[in-house]
Amino acid sequence: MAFTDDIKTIVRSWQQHFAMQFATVSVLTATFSIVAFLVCLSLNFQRVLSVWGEQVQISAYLKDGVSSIDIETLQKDLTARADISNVEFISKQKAVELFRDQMASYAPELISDTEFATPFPASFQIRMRSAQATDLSTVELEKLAGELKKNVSVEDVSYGQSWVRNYASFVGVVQAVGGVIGLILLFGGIFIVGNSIRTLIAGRHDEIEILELIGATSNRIRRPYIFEGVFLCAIAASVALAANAVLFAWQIMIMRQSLAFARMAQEFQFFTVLQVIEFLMVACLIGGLGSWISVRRFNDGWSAARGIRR
Amino acid sequence: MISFSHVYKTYRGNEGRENHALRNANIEIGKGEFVFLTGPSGSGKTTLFRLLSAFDRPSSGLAMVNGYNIAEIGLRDLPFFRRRIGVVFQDFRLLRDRSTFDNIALPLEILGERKVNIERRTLECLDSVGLSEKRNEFPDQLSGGEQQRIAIARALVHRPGLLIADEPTGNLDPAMSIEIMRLFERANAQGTTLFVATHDHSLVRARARRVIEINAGQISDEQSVPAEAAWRSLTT
Repeated sequence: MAFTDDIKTIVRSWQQHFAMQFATVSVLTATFSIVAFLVCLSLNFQRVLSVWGEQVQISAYLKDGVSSIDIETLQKDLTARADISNVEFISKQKAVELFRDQMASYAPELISDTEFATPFPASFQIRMRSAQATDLSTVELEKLAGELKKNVSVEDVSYGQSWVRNYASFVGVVQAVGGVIGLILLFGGIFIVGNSIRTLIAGRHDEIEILELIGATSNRIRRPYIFEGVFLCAIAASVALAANAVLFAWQIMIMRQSLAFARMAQEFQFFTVLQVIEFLMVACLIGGLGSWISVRRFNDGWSAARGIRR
Repeated sequence: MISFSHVYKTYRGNEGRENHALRNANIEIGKGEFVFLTGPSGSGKTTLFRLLSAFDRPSSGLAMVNGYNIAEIGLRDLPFFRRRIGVVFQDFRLLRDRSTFDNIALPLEILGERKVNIERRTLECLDSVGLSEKRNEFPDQLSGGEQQRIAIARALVHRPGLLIADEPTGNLDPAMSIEIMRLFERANAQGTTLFVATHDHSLVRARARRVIEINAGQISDEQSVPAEAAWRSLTT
């Protein structure tokens, strides 16, 4: 009964204030679209950061002429360390094979060039146990790199941590700016819903007064308005998510056509079902909160005595 | 049931001057009484009516209705106080976008009555005010008198212990006014206390009931219409 009453109230609102309701949903849709875009962008940047971060490794290039005993000793020492998860020895020959594989599509003649001499030294590829994107502490990497440099068998040490760190800083800035913009927009959403509900109340002040005067509780009076705010935001958020999904699919399609971004496109993904539900719930919460703030101001049991228009 | 002691209702004008709409009102009305409140326009009838129905709060004094102190009644208790009374407003206060049936059924819905009971009781009330055939019409499709009868039916539908009416026959022809008064008397006979504000002296004279007069915000006189006078009024 109560639910059907709420539905009737919403239908009446749309019948009586179609233009205003439509405008409200449109503005809310735009707001939620921007928020969804920022959240999706942030999540994907974070995802790429995680994937790349996991690939952070130290390359310890060995001097020419290092004996196999020294190599074995160094490998044993490294494998025994608790902070290292994986150690892989790349011989000179293997380095050439890897280079050829990687360059095959760009320079096919390299595969058949038997005279191609190896310019690469043998190396150890070392993965750190804690080298997660979310935990990009330079300290551990630098410490290990420093220790390796001191080893007589090691010529040079390099690690790709700096660019990941730069990327992490970039993602951090994007997330911070996006967070601030998102929060401003969400507060704006509360204001928009509140304003819309206030206009509806002004048009239905008689109803609130009458309901108060015949003994309706505050919850009974406020419920349809709160439900209406939730409904407005749920519709707007659904449309915003649909629009973002289409935009996302289009962007991924463009990225896949571009060689430079094709690999990155694989890492990108739209919201999961759980994230969609969470987004809708936050939107509904904003709708309910905006409505509640508005209707609370008008329905205090004495609106008829006071005159509801403020 | 109703006990007013030294009740004032004061409004402040634009120039800061205090205007007493009600001054030093003292009223005692027991359970089951039928009381008329009479007085000229602007005498304070509506102010008293607003206080009795907890439509407004007194500025000072003790105003007890149904065991509630109107000056101190909180938001939590207010709806439950109002559910125990029935109120007929001078301007009807019907919901324009709801049918006659829905308007009358509203207090029962608020009380959380079962659908079948709501329907039965609402149809009974529609019948008692002679508007059964208008159950699906909206207030704007009804005449002033019909709207008044709907407002009365809504005030009685939940069988309140106290019925307060502000000019309930103001928009009705004499025959319908008598019909409405009979309806009130029937409710009174079933134990409902009635407090009816009216300036229709013929209506008051026709009934042997207690009458409270108000003038310039002061309860100036309290009398009962003797049964003989009421009889004379009806027969002449």
